[in-house]
Amino acid sequence: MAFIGLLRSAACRGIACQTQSLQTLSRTSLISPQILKSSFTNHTLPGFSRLQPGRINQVQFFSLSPKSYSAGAGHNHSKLWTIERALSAVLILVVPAALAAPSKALDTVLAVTLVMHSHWGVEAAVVDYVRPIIFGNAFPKVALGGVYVLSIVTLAGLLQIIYTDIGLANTVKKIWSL
Amino acid sequence: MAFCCSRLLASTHLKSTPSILLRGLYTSPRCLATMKVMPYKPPAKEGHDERNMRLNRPLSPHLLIYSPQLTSMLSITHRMTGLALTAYMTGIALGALMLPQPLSAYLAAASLSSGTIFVGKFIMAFPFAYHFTNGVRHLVWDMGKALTIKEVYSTGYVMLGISAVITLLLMGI
Repeated sequence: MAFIGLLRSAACRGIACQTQSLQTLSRTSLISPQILKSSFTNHTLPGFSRLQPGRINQVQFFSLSPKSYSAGAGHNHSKLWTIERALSAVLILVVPAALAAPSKALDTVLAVTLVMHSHWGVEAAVVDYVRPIIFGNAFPKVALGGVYVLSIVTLAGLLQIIYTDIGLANTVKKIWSL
Repeated sequence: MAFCCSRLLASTHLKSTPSILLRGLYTSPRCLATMKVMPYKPPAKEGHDERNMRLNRPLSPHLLIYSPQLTSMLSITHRMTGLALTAYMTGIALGALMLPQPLSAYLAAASLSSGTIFVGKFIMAFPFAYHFTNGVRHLVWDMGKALTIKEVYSTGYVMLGISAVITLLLMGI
């Protein structure tokens, strides 16, 4: 999981270096615990070590396991990915159920899940195609904001159909019976 | 030293050079590698796209000359059908918000030709059937199953068949 490296401070700058417990560190390295303690006392982030300028040959742990690495960068999308899959799986059941037995409750569940699912889909497409290298730095942000606005407006419209009109499933059925 | 000479031999220019000259190069002091300490310079930050644009590289794969494969075609169709379904949903929602009467009133008053209804149903039924069926295929992949090339192709054909059947069933309702 963790790699021990004898690294010069300049080479490791910019990498989120994760420290292990001092015990492990002193067990696996030849540096005395006193020196280790002094180099790990003034951390700004708990669990992360800062390389100190002027020190050479510091023992540093940096983790290459996906979880710790993404946590170090401040972005962990693995949970969102799981939620997206779960929502897609839920839709397999919700869509036929809402059409088979139309009700305000099922329609509302359908509206919320459909809008979330399509929002993530469109967002992914916009991130893929509306890239800063082609459109400049400003427009991709505007486009992404537009996706949020459209998703919110869509949900509002669907809720209006559910609560002031015949409902979502019935609207689809009516279109189909034209 | 060895590295330097092997590189010289590898160059096509020197392959045709007489062996006497080569021998001279072998012993030339210029060939000796010198090492000196340089301050570390971090590489310039440049993204994948930026680098390719600076080097005038074409988009890879070049979509116009690249042979269409089942895998890539099914993949892009999945995204296109999803976007189409989103467009219909947003259209219906915007209609409900902006039209003066409730949507059902317009649907009750609508009188469309059978051709329009057929085309309209098809452009809704096919994207739904395709996106639904291929979505299940994607979820199977996400569980780590059916990921060999052979399985990706076979499930692709099965998915096309099932979505065609669902489209026909929906059109028939």
